[in-house]
Amino acid sequence: MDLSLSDRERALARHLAVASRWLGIATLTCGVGLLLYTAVFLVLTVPAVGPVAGVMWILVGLALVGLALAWQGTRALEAGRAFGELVEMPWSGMVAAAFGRIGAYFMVDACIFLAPIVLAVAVCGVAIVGGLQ
Amino acid sequence: MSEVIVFEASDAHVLRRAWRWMLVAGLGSLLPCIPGDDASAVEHAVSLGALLVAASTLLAAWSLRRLISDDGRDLVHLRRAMVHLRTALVLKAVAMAVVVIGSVFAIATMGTLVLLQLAS
Repeated sequence: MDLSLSDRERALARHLAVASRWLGIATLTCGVGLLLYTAVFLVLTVPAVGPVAGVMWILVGLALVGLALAWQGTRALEAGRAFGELVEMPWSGMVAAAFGRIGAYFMVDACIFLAPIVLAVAVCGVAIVGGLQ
Repeated sequence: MSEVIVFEASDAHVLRRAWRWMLVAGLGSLLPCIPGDDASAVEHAVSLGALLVAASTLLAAWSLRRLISDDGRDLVHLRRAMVHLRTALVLKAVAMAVVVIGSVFAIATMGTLVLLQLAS
Protein backbone atom coordinates (compact mmCIF):
# COMPACT_ATOMS: atom_id res chain seq x y z
CA MET A 1 0.00 0.00 0.00
CA ASP A 2 1.43 3.40 -1.02
CA LEU A 3 1.97 5.98 1.74
CA SER A 4 2.18 9.74 1.54
CA LEU A 5 4.93 10.73 3.95
CA SER A 6 5.30 14.29 5.17
CA ASP A 7 8.58 16.19 4.93
CA ARG A 8 9.25 15.44 8.61
CA GLU A 9 8.80 11.68 8.06
CA ARG A 10 10.95 11.74 4.95
CA ALA A 11 13.67 13.58 6.86
CA LEU A 12 13.50 11.00 9.65
CA ALA A 13 13.74 8.15 7.13
CA ARG A 14 16.73 9.90 5.53
CA HIS A 15 18.44 10.21 8.95
CA LEU A 16 17.78 6.53 9.63
CA ALA A 17 19.19 5.59 6.23
CA VAL A 18 22.41 7.50 6.93
CA ALA A 19 22.70 6.19 10.52
CA SER A 20 22.09 2.59 9.43
CA ARG A 21 24.66 2.84 6.64
CA TRP A 22 27.35 4.27 8.92
CA LEU A 23 26.60 1.72 11.63
CA GLY A 24 26.71 -1.01 8.99
CA ILE A 25 30.09 0.16 7.70
CA ALA A 26 31.47 0.35 11.27
CA THR A 27 30.15 -3.10 12.20
CA LEU A 28 31.36 -4.68 8.96
CA THR A 29 34.80 -3.14 9.52
CA CYS A 30 34.90 -4.54 13.09
CA GLY A 31 33.93 -8.00 11.81
CA VAL A 32 36.48 -8.05 9.00
CA GLY A 33 39.12 -6.61 11.37
CA LEU A 34 38.48 -9.37 13.89
CA LEU A 35 38.72 -12.03 11.16
CA LEU A 36 41.99 -10.51 9.91
CA TYR A 37 43.35 -10.36 13.48
CA THR A 38 42.51 -14.06 13.93
CA ALA A 39 44.14 -14.98 10.62
CA VAL A 40 47.32 -12.98 11.37
CA PHE A 41 47.53 -14.48 14.87
CA LEU A 42 47.19 -18.00 13.41
CA VAL A 43 49.88 -17.32 10.79
CA LEU A 44 52.25 -15.94 13.45
CA THR A 45 51.81 -18.59 16.15
CA VAL A 46 50.91 -21.94 14.59
CA PRO A 47 54.05 -22.40 12.41
CA ALA A 48 56.24 -21.42 15.39
CA VAL A 49 54.81 -23.50 18.24
CA GLY A 50 52.05 -25.63 16.72
CA PRO A 51 48.36 -25.52 17.65
CA VAL A 52 47.71 -24.91 21.38
CA ALA A 53 44.22 -26.17 22.32
CA GLY A 54 43.18 -23.27 24.62
CA VAL A 55 44.38 -20.57 22.22
CA MET A 56 42.74 -22.34 19.28
CA TRP A 57 39.34 -22.32 21.02
CA ILE A 58 39.66 -18.60 21.76
CA LEU A 59 40.58 -17.96 18.12
CA VAL A 60 37.60 -20.01 16.92
CA GLY A 61 35.37 -17.88 19.19
CA LEU A 62 36.87 -14.64 17.87
CA ALA A 63 36.45 -15.81 14.27
CA LEU A 64 32.78 -16.66 14.90
CA VAL A 65 32.19 -13.24 16.50
CA GLY A 66 33.94 -11.65 13.50
CA LEU A 67 31.66 -13.52 11.08
CA ALA A 68 28.58 -12.55 13.12
CA LEU A 69 29.64 -8.88 13.13
CA ALA A 70 30.27 -8.95 9.38
CA TRP A 71 26.79 -10.39 8.75
CA GLN A 72 25.31 -7.87 11.19
CA GLY A 73 26.99 -5.08 9.22
CA THR A 74 25.43 -6.27 5.97
CA ARG A 75 21.98 -6.25 7.64
CA ALA A 76 22.47 -2.63 8.71
CA LEU A 77 23.59 -1.69 5.20
CA GLU A 78 20.48 -3.39 3.79
CA ALA A 79 18.33 -1.51 6.32
CA GLY A 80 20.01 1.72 5.25
CA ARG A 81 19.15 0.96 1.62
CA ALA A 82 15.54 0.14 2.59
CA PHE A 83 15.17 3.42 4.51
CA GLY A 84 16.66 5.22 1.51
CA GLU A 85 14.08 3.60 -0.78
CA LEU A 86 11.36 4.54 1.72
CA VAL A 87 12.26 8.19 1.14
CA GLU A 88 12.04 7.78 -2.64
CA MET A 89 9.01 5.48 -2.88
CA PRO A 90 7.07 5.16 0.40
CA TRP A 91 4.92 2.03 0.77
CA SER A 92 4.01 -0.23 3.67
CA GLY A 93 6.12 -3.18 2.43
CA MET A 94 9.23 -1.01 2.50
CA VAL A 95 8.45 0.07 6.09
CA ALA A 96 8.30 -3.60 7.07
CA ALA A 97 11.48 -4.40 5.13
CA ALA A 98 13.42 -1.53 6.72
CA PHE A 99 12.30 -2.25 10.29
CA GLY A 100 12.68 -6.01 9.77
CA ARG A 101 16.28 -5.63 8.60
CA ILE A 102 17.22 -3.31 11.44
CA GLY A 103 15.56 -5.88 13.72
CA ALA A 104 17.87 -8.55 12.31
CA TYR A 105 20.80 -6.23 13.02
CA PHE A 106 19.85 -6.00 16.71
CA MET A 107 19.10 -9.75 16.88
CA VAL A 108 22.75 -10.61 16.20
CA ASP A 109 23.67 -8.93 19.51
CA ALA A 110 21.61 -11.57 21.30
CA CYS A 111 23.58 -14.32 19.58
CA ILE A 112 26.94 -12.69 20.42
CA PHE A 113 26.05 -12.02 24.07
CA LEU A 114 24.06 -15.17 24.77
CA ALA A 115 26.16 -17.76 22.88
CA PRO A 116 29.04 -17.84 25.44
CA ILE A 117 26.54 -18.08 28.31
CA VAL A 118 24.61 -20.91 26.62
CA LEU A 119 27.92 -22.64 25.80
CA ALA A 120 29.14 -22.31 29.42
CA VAL A 121 25.86 -23.71 30.78
CA ALA A 122 26.03 -26.60 28.28
CA VAL A 123 29.65 -27.40 29.23
CA CYS A 124 28.76 -27.26 32.96
CA GLY A 125 25.76 -29.51 32.30
CA VAL A 126 27.86 -32.05 30.43
CA ALA A 127 30.51 -31.95 33.19
CA ILE A 128 27.90 -32.47 35.93
CA VAL A 129 26.27 -35.36 34.05
CA GLY A 130 29.72 -36.85 33.41
CA GLY A 131 30.59 -36.50 37.10
CA LEU A 132 27.35 -38.18 38.19
CA GLN A 133 27.97 -41.13 35.88
CA MET B 1 -6.92 12.25 10.36
CA SER B 2 -3.68 10.40 9.73
CA GLU B 3 -3.16 7.75 7.10
CA VAL B 4 -3.43 4.11 8.22
CA ILE B 5 -0.65 1.70 7.25
CA VAL B 6 -1.87 -1.72 6.10
CA PHE B 7 0.83 -4.38 6.30
CA GLU B 8 0.66 -7.58 4.22
CA ALA B 9 0.39 -10.73 6.35
CA SER B 10 3.99 -11.71 5.52
CA ASP B 11 5.28 -8.21 6.39
CA ALA B 12 3.40 -8.23 9.70
CA HIS B 13 4.91 -11.65 10.42
CA VAL B 14 8.43 -10.31 9.74
CA LEU B 15 7.84 -7.33 12.05
CA ARG B 16 6.35 -9.47 14.84
CA ARG B 17 9.27 -11.90 14.62
CA ALA B 18 11.76 -9.00 14.65
CA TRP B 19 10.10 -7.44 17.71
CA ARG B 20 10.21 -10.71 19.69
CA TRP B 21 13.85 -11.38 18.83
CA MET B 22 14.81 -7.82 19.63
CA LEU B 23 13.19 -8.21 23.04
CA VAL B 24 15.23 -11.40 23.59
CA ALA B 25 18.34 -9.58 22.34
CA GLY B 26 17.77 -6.63 24.67
CA LEU B 27 17.16 -8.80 27.72
CA GLY B 28 20.09 -11.05 26.76
CA SER B 29 22.37 -8.04 26.48
CA LEU B 30 21.53 -7.15 30.09
CA LEU B 31 23.25 -10.32 31.33
CA PRO B 32 26.88 -9.19 30.78
CA CYS B 33 26.07 -5.78 32.31
CA ILE B 34 26.99 -6.88 35.83
CA PRO B 35 30.77 -6.68 36.32
CA GLY B 36 32.46 -8.99 38.84
CA ASP B 37 33.79 -7.83 42.21
CA ASP B 38 37.38 -7.54 40.98
CA ALA B 39 36.54 -6.32 37.47
CA SER B 40 39.23 -4.46 35.53
CA ALA B 41 38.72 -1.16 33.71
CA VAL B 42 38.27 -3.06 30.44
CA GLU B 43 35.54 -5.25 31.99
CA HIS B 44 33.79 -2.14 33.30
CA ALA B 45 33.94 -0.65 29.79
CA VAL B 46 32.46 -3.83 28.28
CA SER B 47 29.70 -3.83 30.97
CA LEU B 48 28.86 -0.21 30.18
CA GLY B 49 28.82 -1.02 26.46
CA ALA B 50 26.53 -4.00 27.07
CA LEU B 51 24.18 -1.77 29.10
CA LEU B 52 24.04 0.73 26.23
CA VAL B 53 23.48 -2.09 23.71
CA ALA B 54 20.64 -3.44 25.88
CA ALA B 55 19.07 0.02 26.20
CA SER B 56 19.28 0.69 22.45
CA THR B 57 17.90 -2.74 21.54
CA LEU B 58 14.98 -2.47 23.97
CA LEU B 59 14.20 1.03 22.69
CA ALA B 60 14.26 -0.19 19.07
CA ALA B 61 12.08 -3.18 20.07
CA TRP B 62 9.61 -0.83 21.75
CA SER B 63 9.43 1.34 18.62
CA LEU B 64 8.60 -1.74 16.56
CA ARG B 65 6.03 -2.93 19.12
CA ARG B 66 4.25 0.41 18.94
CA LEU B 67 4.24 0.27 15.14
CA ILE B 68 2.66 -3.19 14.86
CA SER B 69 0.13 -2.86 17.67
CA ASP B 70 -3.51 -2.76 16.57
CA ASP B 71 -3.93 0.91 17.43
CA GLY B 72 -0.52 1.91 16.13
CA ARG B 73 -0.65 1.40 12.38
CA ASP B 74 -0.67 4.99 11.24
CA LEU B 75 1.86 7.58 10.20
CA VAL B 76 1.91 9.21 13.66
CA HIS B 77 3.12 5.93 15.13
CA LEU B 78 5.51 5.41 12.22
CA ARG B 79 7.02 8.82 12.98
CA ARG B 80 7.36 8.00 16.69
CA ALA B 81 8.83 4.60 15.81
CA MET B 82 11.40 6.27 13.56
CA VAL B 83 12.31 8.82 16.27
CA HIS B 84 12.80 5.99 18.81
CA LEU B 85 14.79 3.99 16.30
CA ARG B 86 17.03 6.97 15.58
CA THR B 87 17.74 7.35 19.32
CA ALA B 88 18.36 3.60 19.52
CA LEU B 89 20.88 3.77 16.65
CA VAL B 90 22.70 6.69 18.29
CA LEU B 91 22.88 4.73 21.58
CA LYS B 92 24.07 1.70 19.66
CA ALA B 93 26.83 3.73 18.00
CA VAL B 94 28.03 4.98 21.42
CA ALA B 95 27.84 1.42 22.79
CA MET B 96 29.84 0.12 19.84
CA ALA B 97 32.53 2.74 20.42
CA VAL B 98 32.80 1.78 24.12
CA VAL B 99 32.76 -1.99 23.43
CA VAL B 100 35.18 -1.74 20.50
CA ILE B 101 37.71 0.35 22.48
CA GLY B 102 37.44 -2.05 25.46
CA SER B 103 37.63 -5.16 23.26
CA VAL B 104 40.56 -3.90 21.18
CA PHE B 105 42.44 -3.17 24.40
CA ALA B 106 41.56 -6.61 25.84
CA ILE B 107 42.38 -8.49 22.62
CA ALA B 108 45.65 -6.63 22.13
CA THR B 109 46.65 -7.33 25.76
CA MET B 110 45.70 -11.01 25.45
CA GLY B 111 47.49 -11.34 22.12
CA THR B 112 50.68 -9.74 23.45
CA LEU B 113 50.63 -11.92 26.58
CA VAL B 114 50.09 -15.13 24.58
CA LEU B 115 52.83 -14.20 22.09
CA LEU B 116 55.26 -13.41 24.95
CA GLN B 117 54.39 -16.67 26.69
CA LEU B 118 54.84 -18.68 23.50
CA ALA B 119 58.14 -16.94 22.72
CA SER B 120 59.65 -17.69 26.16
